[in-house]
Amino acid sequence: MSAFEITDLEYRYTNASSFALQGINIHLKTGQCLGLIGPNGSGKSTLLSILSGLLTPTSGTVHFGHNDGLTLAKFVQKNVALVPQEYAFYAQLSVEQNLQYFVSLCGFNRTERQLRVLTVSQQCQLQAVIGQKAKFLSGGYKRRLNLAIALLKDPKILYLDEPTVGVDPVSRGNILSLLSELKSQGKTIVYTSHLLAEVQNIGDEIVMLNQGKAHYLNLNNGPNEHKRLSVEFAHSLSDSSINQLSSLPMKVEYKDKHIEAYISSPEELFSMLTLLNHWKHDILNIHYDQTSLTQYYLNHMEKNDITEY
Amino acid sequence: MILQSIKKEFILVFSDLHSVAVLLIMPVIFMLIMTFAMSERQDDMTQNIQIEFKTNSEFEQTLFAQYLAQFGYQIGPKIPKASANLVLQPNLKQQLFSGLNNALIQIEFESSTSPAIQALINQHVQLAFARLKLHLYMLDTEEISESLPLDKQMALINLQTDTSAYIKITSDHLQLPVVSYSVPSWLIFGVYFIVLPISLTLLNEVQNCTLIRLKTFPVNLQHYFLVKLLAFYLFSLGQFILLSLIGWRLIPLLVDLPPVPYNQICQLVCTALVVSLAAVSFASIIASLVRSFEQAIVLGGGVNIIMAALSGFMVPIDIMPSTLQQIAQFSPMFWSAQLVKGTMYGHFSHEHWISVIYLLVLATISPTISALLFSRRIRGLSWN
Repeated sequence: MSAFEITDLEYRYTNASSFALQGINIHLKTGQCLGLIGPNGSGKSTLLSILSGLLTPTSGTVHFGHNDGLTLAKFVQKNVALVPQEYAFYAQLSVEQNLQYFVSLCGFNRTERQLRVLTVSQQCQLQAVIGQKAKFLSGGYKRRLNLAIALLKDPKILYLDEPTVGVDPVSRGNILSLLSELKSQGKTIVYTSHLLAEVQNIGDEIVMLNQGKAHYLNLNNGPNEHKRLSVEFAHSLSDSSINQLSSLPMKVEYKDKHIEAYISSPEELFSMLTLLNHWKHDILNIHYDQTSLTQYYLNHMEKNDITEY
Repeated sequence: MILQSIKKEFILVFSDLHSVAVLLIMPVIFMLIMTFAMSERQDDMTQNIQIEFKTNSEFEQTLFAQYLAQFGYQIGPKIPKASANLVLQPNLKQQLFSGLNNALIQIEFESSTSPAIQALINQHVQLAFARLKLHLYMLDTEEISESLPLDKQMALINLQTDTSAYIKITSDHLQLPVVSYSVPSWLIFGVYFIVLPISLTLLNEVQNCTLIRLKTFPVNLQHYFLVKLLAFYLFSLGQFILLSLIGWRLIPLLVDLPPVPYNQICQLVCTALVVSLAAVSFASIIASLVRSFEQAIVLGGGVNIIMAALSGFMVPIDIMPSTLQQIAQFSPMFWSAQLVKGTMYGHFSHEHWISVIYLLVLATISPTISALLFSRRIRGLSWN
């Protein structure tokens, strides 16, 4: 089921010589998370503004699934919530006063309002600070309150702009697990962040914007499907060992007491580990991980070798 | 939503000490200072004015000094910080009745002496001189006997020149204490400063993206803006009533003046309704225009101070040049102050009703303009 579909989207600011966004095509399914990355000024905010109905595209279309014939603005008001990078609430009000105020704008009746405030404060673990003034909250609680306000109207789609900036690792973990939970409940999420590990962790689809153009990064298919196994030995390998490496079914590079194996299946991993076990060489260090988005991002930004989406 | 919005705005204003200071503390301080400054009677004032007067031994000069001293001045030959120096020509009597119009008295004011004090001294010197001339004439015609003690001669002259019985002052204003002049102006000044909290809360909402967030809530932002103005209108009414009570009940006690004998509460409430409505409406235009905190303070504060100056809050409008008096007719603060003074004096003249009409017109037009400006502004909002 489609959450939204962007087709041939272009946007040019008034009096600007070039397009802020050009040829954008994105299709996101309900319950998926779109990770939106890119350098500053790449067009992320412009794209979010268009998706929020704040800007009208110069050309192209944005179509939301199950929009019931609503205009974009009405659909956004009913189904979409924003979590800006800024603390978009009233610092002088308490957490509860903030929640009560924003929920009063959602059109619920009194009982529903109380229920929404209770649900959201539990969901975002705000009960402990419910009576505190927002300005005295820690960074982590402020981020949770920022998110809680967006959840008050029970949106189908959630846009989050750097929702974990300035947050300690524990709070960040809490926020990310809450987002995963929301995703499992069928909420669609558009997530922008410069913390690429987070985007990689939570994003089902990752789109990198650069100079107004979208590039689709698929870390699970094509030439970048491999996970990397790095092994550092105490001594150089013998020639016979090096020859054995060439018999393995995957690409393996050897250089100066190090081997790098590019693993694409559990069988390949098993064969590599079997060989290491057979050798009985002294191993100083062993590391196995997915290709990091950070590495990918840096490589592709440098080489500009990005698959067009 | 309306109650929550009103509650929110009240909490925001009361938690901002600057806003509370501007809206409540500043006008009270102004009212207190101005009432205290205006409470001093004229003879108390002249007691603090020193005049250097070098008399020679001539009887006429001594007599003139005594007439001048009757107004309360401190007069002496060597005064270090005198406001004015007086020098009389010798042989005063001969010159006075010679028929020549020579200057017989020279007044030299210190540079620090204010124009108002200069005018006062000048007026008193003329009166003292007129009495001296009559005194000398009556001695010459023997209507006063030289054998009478000097203080009795002077008492006779004072009696001859006393015209108070011939003048009847009918103005109702005379009955009112000084707070009726000092309080309305600074009350209005404070009420119009509602522009600052309106502008600052709106700017905060723009800058921390709350307004963008609100744009995606199922709420009409025009409606939201009007509810915000309603909240500030209620705040302004409370401010008006509180400042009125402080100005007309507490301040007279503090400066040892009688309280204002005022019982027309209904008229005062009606005046508060109109003045606060006009003040909030006018402020809404500025709030929709400003784009930064600096602009809010300079434009909001600056416009208010200029309007206050033009409306006769700082210098009485009666003594302003006619051009400035004409300009004052276009100031909402002037209309508001006129209205409050009319209420205080207990009668409404034609001019007061015109002020009501002007203020209601302003209160109708301003929100329309500000709603359009606000609408333009929210159309330009986008994700930072």
